[in-house]
Amino acid sequence: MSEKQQALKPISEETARKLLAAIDEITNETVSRSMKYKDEIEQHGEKAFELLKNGMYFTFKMLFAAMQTGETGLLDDQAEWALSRLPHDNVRPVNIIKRLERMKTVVAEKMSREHTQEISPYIDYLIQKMSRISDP
Amino acid sequence: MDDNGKINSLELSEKPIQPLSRDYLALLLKGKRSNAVDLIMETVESGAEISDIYLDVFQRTQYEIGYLWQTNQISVAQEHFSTAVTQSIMAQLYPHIIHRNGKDREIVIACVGGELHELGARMVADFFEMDGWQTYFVGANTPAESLLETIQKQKPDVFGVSVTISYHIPEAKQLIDMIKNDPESGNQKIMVGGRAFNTAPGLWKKFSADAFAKNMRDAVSTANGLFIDTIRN
Repeated sequence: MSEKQQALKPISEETARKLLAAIDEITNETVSRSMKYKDEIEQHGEKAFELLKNGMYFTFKMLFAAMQTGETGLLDDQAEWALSRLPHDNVRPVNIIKRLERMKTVVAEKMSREHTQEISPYIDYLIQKMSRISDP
Repeated sequence: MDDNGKINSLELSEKPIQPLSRDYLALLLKGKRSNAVDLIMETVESGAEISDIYLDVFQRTQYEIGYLWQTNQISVAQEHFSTAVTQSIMAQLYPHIIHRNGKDREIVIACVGGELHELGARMVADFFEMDGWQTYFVGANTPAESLLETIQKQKPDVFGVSVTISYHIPEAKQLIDMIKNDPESGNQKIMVGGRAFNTAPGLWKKFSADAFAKNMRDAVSTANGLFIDTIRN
């Protein structure tokens, strides 16, 4: 593991099962809350909801892969890719980070405290990584 | 063609690129399919090693095409066109690759369910073919149950699993667990590779995989190495 990769424990199988079962609920709620912030979505026009939902689902799956294996290197790669590519799709890094923070809040509301304690460090890791890259 | 790290005013990545790769890439970016085909076929007919073409031209070009899309300098359609041209040339090179007096070893190579990026895995399959292995290339996006049936039926010496996009890692884990827990295929040797595993080189050890390969040449030498102890014993 490189110095830059934080050591996180893989989530338990039970947490993984519960999280996968809640994926639609978590992504839908995160996107619904994000749609209220017009300054975050106005550049996407009528496609805003679909775009945000697809993006959130993609991010969730990336996070899940890292959580299940304990490999934060997967998130390092994802963060660099996202910050390189997404601005070309009119997705601003600051808005990605805000949506990740909302996702973390939704997870804490929908999952048990024990499960949330396993999941949140990974979301925090991705938020910190993207914040560091986008604003060095 | 421009100079100074550009082709047709497109900014290339900082990775060094050989002249043949640059020429091939330039033709792809101009949409000159037949010229690109001629360039490679003439290079092969003049004696170039196909393995070098795969590594130094095709793989290198794919990297650059991916970079150009990521930086929004080319479209998805251009990326797909370029990949399709490379695939069509690989098909034309196949008669040069088939090893008619090959080894008595078989490898099945597949991308996990949902994984659409198959070109790298296909190149690996061709490298095995060049080394004399019998190859059973399944390709992209194959459900785990179907892959298990394939392994049970083919009983290959090695099963190669390719993952390019990291979020397909859970599918790879599920697939490997399914195979290793199956009474018929529990002893199947499994080698993993692809960009996702290269991103996290220690990841394969957390699965029940037997080996990891970081590139085409490594895949062949690693797979051969799985049997050296068997021969010695």
